[in-house]
Amino acid sequence: MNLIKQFTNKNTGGKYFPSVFFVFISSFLLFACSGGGNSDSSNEDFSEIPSLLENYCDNIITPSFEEFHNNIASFETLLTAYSNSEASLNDCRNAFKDARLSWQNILPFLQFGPALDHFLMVNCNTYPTDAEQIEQDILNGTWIDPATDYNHYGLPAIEYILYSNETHSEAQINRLIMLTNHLVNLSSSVYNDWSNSYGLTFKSNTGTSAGSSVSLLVHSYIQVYETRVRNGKLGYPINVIGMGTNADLYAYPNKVEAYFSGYSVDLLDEAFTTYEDVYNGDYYVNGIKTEGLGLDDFVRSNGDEPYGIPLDNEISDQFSVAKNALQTLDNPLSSFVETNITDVFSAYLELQALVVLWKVDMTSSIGMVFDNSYDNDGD
Amino acid sequence: MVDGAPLYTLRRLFGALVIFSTLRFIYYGWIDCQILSPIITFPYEEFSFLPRPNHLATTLLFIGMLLGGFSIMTGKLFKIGTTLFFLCFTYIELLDKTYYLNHYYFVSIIAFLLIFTDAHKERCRIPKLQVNLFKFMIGLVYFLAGLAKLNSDWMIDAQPLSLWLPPHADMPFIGWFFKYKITAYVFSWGGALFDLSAPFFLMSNRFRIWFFPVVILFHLMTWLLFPIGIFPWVMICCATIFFTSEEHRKFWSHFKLLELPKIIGRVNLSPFFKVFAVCFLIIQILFPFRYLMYPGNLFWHESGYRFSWRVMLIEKPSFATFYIKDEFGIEEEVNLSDWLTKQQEKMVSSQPDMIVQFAHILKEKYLNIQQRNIKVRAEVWSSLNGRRSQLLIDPYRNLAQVKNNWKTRDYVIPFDSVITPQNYFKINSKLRENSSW
Repeated sequence: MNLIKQFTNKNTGGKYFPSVFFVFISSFLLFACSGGGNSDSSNEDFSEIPSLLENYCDNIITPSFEEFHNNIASFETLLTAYSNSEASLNDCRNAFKDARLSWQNILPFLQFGPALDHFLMVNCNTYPTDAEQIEQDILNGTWIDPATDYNHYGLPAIEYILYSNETHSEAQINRLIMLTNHLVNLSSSVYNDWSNSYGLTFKSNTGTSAGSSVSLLVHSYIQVYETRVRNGKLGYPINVIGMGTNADLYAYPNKVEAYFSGYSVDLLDEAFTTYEDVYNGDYYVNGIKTEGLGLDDFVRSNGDEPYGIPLDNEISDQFSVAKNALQTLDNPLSSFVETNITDVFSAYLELQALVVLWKVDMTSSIGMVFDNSYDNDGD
Repeated sequence: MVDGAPLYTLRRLFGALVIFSTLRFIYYGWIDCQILSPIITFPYEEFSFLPRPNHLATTLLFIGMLLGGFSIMTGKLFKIGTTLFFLCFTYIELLDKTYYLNHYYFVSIIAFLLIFTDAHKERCRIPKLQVNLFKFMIGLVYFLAGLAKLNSDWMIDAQPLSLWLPPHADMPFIGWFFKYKITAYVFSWGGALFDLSAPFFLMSNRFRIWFFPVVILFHLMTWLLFPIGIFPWVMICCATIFFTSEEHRKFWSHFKLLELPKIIGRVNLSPFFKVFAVCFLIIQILFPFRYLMYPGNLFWHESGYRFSWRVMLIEKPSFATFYIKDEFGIEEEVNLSDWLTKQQEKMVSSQPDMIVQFAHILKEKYLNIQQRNIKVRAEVWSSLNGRRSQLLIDPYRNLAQVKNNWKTRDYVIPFDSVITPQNYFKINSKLRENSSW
């Protein structure tokens, strides 16, 4: 029987087998030549990635860097005026606060592209600042670019000099101008990169794979939020990193941002609003909020999937819950953390909830691939 | 006694493929980033006695694989070569769970089985059981892979394909197809049907010739869509074993130098091989079902998930934060990138046994390096197959004390006890108070 079967097969299958193999090998060659190029794939459900990137680059990121640069530059001008007694200390402090508020608007974009290349984050806003070293710098009167010792440079150092005295010596003003000038130069480089070459690179790098603009933006957005907003503005001053509990709380008033000027909460509110606006892709034209294509639209584009509208709603809800929690905080934060540490902790926890929603749910929703360089057939 | 041509083909193609696979591994620089440079590795507990190879030993292992592969392909020094390949290849696979792949396991199995056959004696008729053992094993892989797809995520929600297919919508010619939800269903149901029926169609003399192109198409599709490595080629080559000897002879006769020689002798079936084959198959049939011992959602606790032909079944993006606490009560967050490669971090974040293993490693390292006796806990957020994220394991359990064994993983929070990020922060303090942390 077996023999007969095999014989029959020889006549039918036998002549097909080689041709089947030919199909196999030729399709292998075909795919080997044409395939492989699909690693940088975009999400067709959301075919508007180019418009999304354009909105972020042209309406949000570049203008934000421009504004920060302009504000820090006009602050420098005022400082010169102040040294000639043509402007008041108050004018300087107001201009400085404007610059600091506009710093909050660029936070989400600090960990990729030009801002990362120029180490803008550590150069501009490393605190607590080293007052002793700053006094020493004033005495020395010379400028050395910061290398790793960022804690006597940047906005916090300027703040220290500006707010710890009501009148300023020539040496102090000189130091202020040097510190400010450093930031003017850096912010100008970053702004120029964004408005020229990098902006184009950013807009053309579509898709959601590792290294795509969407992925860089989202990574930076979350990373700066964790380290500089959640931890930097609230976590460190109450001794919490990650998920602590009431038991570990301990107030470190001098770890708050804007310790000398005392408007920490204003900066936090501004930063948080920036995060919400950036998520929504919203921007301001002459102070009027304008809707743009944002991550929210990307998340919503999955229709009524689990990762679509419900996720967007949850993220939006969490934004408002966290915003309400931030409302309970008061300036100056340095004394507030000593008296109302549990309120600060609750606010901190509400900020933390967003991290999980972004890191796990949002990134999978928009099909972001972190690292697909290895084979994977399990999960 | 049969003409072993199908087995000779399998041996030749398999040998060529493992050489290709080894060279590919070297070419991509994976020796360095998977084997040599990671600070720590995650060996299988049962094999943790195997020392981690240094640069020289790794080089030797890969030379062993290449020589072994060559020996498999040509049939020269076959038994020694195949054993050498099997040992070297499996050694590398056992080093780190991070890189577990079903098809590596499959390669190990095929190499192991080949050792006991006479696949190199192309001039002899060989026992039919030798060919059938491979047919059965390959059929079993398809069938169990199909059976594993019969779960509600795959069949009813078309997950994870609903998540994976839309990003391919910009593929030329067929891309437009992937943006539709229905496509994920077609692929899910089609895939399950394909896997379940493949062994039967391939065995059938009548349908095989029509089904083999489907096999090729199916595997090409998976190769195009997923980062699945050489798996498609391995399966396509192995599936040729179902063709008849005459077909195989005819195929090789197209290549002058590779033509199969005329049969002049025979090899008898050894009783040992019979016993071996039966025992092996029984283990292979039963082992994938060990998950039945564990309550709860298999994709969530992953007890009994590996080595069971569960291919492409879960998408489980996760985010883990590890905390340590020493005897003085000082608690710190562990910076994962200090210890783990990106790929390890991804796997440690979602696989419960690796979470525990990492806790053990941390405890040992802190004791050795800093002389600190620490507890370890982890807060892990996972999202399974498109669901929203929820807490994966008990966030206040000292994981350094949990044993990684075959028992039920009681440190995994049951899948239906959903703790969402928004809820967690409200109950966090209570959870902590009620724990021994």
